[in-house]
Amino acid sequence: MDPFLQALPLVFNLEVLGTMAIAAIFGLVVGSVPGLTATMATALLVPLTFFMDPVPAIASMVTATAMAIFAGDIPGALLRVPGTPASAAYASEAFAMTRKGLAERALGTSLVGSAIGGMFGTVVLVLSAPQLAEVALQFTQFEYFWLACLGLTCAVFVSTASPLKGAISLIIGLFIATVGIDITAGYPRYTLGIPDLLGGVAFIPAMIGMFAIAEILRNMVAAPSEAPPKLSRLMQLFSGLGGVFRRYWRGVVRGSVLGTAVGILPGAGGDIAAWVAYALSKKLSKEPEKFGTGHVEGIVDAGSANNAALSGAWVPALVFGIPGDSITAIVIGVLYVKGMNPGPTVFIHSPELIYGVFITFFLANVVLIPFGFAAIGLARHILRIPRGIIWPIVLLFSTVGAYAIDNSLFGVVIMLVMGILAFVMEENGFPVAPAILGLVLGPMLEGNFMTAMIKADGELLAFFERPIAAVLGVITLSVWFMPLVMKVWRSRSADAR
Amino acid sequence: MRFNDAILGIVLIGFAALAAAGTLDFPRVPGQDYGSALFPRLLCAGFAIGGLMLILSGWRNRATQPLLDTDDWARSPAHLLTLALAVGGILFYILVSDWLGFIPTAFLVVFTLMLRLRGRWISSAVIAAAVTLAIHQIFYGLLLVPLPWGVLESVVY
Repeated sequence: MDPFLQALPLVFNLEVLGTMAIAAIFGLVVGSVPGLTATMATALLVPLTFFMDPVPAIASMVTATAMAIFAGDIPGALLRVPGTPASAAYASEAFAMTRKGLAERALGTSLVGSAIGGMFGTVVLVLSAPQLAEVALQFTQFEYFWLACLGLTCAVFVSTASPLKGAISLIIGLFIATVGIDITAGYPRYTLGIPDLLGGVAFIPAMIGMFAIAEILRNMVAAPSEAPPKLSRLMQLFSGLGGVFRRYWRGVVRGSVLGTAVGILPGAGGDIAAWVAYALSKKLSKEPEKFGTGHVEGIVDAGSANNAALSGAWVPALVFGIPGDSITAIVIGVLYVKGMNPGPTVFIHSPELIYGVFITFFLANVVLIPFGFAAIGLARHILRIPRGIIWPIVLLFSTVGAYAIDNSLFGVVIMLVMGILAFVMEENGFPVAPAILGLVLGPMLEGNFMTAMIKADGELLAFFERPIAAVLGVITLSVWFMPLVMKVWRSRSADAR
Repeated sequence: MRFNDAILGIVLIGFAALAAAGTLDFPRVPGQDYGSALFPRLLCAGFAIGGLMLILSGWRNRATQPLLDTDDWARSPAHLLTLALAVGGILFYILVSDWLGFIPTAFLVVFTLMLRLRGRWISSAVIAAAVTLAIHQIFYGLLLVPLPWGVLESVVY
């Protein structure tokens, strides 16, 4: 039977659709509260999805993040406070439109742009993932080793201003992943005599700590933000939108393509996609002088790009098991915990699962429009929830979530330790995303590396003997040594002058 | 609160030395050159190199970057108290939830923090109670997570 037809009942049943509806509301609330990010929405959902089947679990995360990324635009436009980092690039622009009385236009544009961008990313995902999976089936440990290295390297270089601190953050994640019984000799490493650590640092509590607890701590020491101003009702959301999209259709295409591409790059997600798309839109615009004064053009590009990136990030995640951003990193971690290893074999053994996931992507982006519309209508109430109520709730929810995975208080201990670690890291300019990628990919990287080393009998040249491995290896090494070469070259040319 | 990069570099190198020393008693697999120690040692080398580069960068920026930069919150007792309450709340949960039970512990943690952030006794107590019961219902009722009843055990059963 056609796997697509098999997939339909997997998605179109009460459990999955109901889960998606609840996840949508959850995502909209989390996204529109400043400080609560789409990544945090995923982190808080994980303890709940842990108890679900793979399709509803992934469906709820896909829906919640798509909603959260759009909803981040609402406080961005109304208060100039982006709800999630992915809206930061154009929050000032949207707020300038609000001040001109164009709040509806700004939000309507970003809502429709988000849906189109998300849909485009999904189409790319559906068309490319099965083809790439065919190629990935030929891969051995050598290719996977280089691919993981390349992905982690991208994460370090793309996600942060300081590649050095990004690299250290990555090594911290990889190191934490070595705790527990090791794969080659079965010896317990760095367990400090604690039996709970034999199985390694539990991933889900660690991730809740790094994304939720660290954020709570950061907010506890931040100056309280000013009280939200009075907001008027927003109703005329879709009037005049046709004109906007007829005029700036190129922007939608550009934003969607760019966003998907950035999303596919490991480590870079919606926030970077939005910044790049906004900058590019300004550069290519016929009227760049209008940018920043409440001009809709940049919102078209960037609003499409951040949702496109969300779908794009799933391409490497589903095909290679290498996450494209921190959200997919969390999802992959969860799939591993559930014993379902993402990778090309899933496409062969359970294609209906993959198609089910594809269908939920389309659904999530379709329902984005009505749900987003409702959220804009309710925004006045959501934005009035004070932080004094939100953060204690997030704290309790995280604590119970960390406990619920193994019904053990040790999970809460891990959550707290990792939360403090992430808080201290971010305070000192170390990005957290590379650490979480390292934590997820650590076992895979070490496993492939060790098997490859043993296969090659320590002959490092064997890492370059297979053609694809050689190409990936050369690219990786050149990215590693590029900064050094550039430095030498610059100082040479400076001397010559 | 920001440390100078050099301090962080020294901490990293110290950690790398400790972790590398830890690999010394990892067993070798007979007849195989690469064992469980190889990957952690590579990571320790990475830490050490990163640490050295941090020390270098900290030394270069020593004019602008103090050894420990305590900005607003680290010197504000009010912020430190809030921070301590959040961390302390989780610690409290870890230490007492088993015998006190989920509902009283969670209520105390949420109520204390809410009171600290909002300063209203009655509404904070009401909201904290509602939140505690709602989360208990989701995890205990729907997801069947065995949250401890603690002192309430005799009341419920």
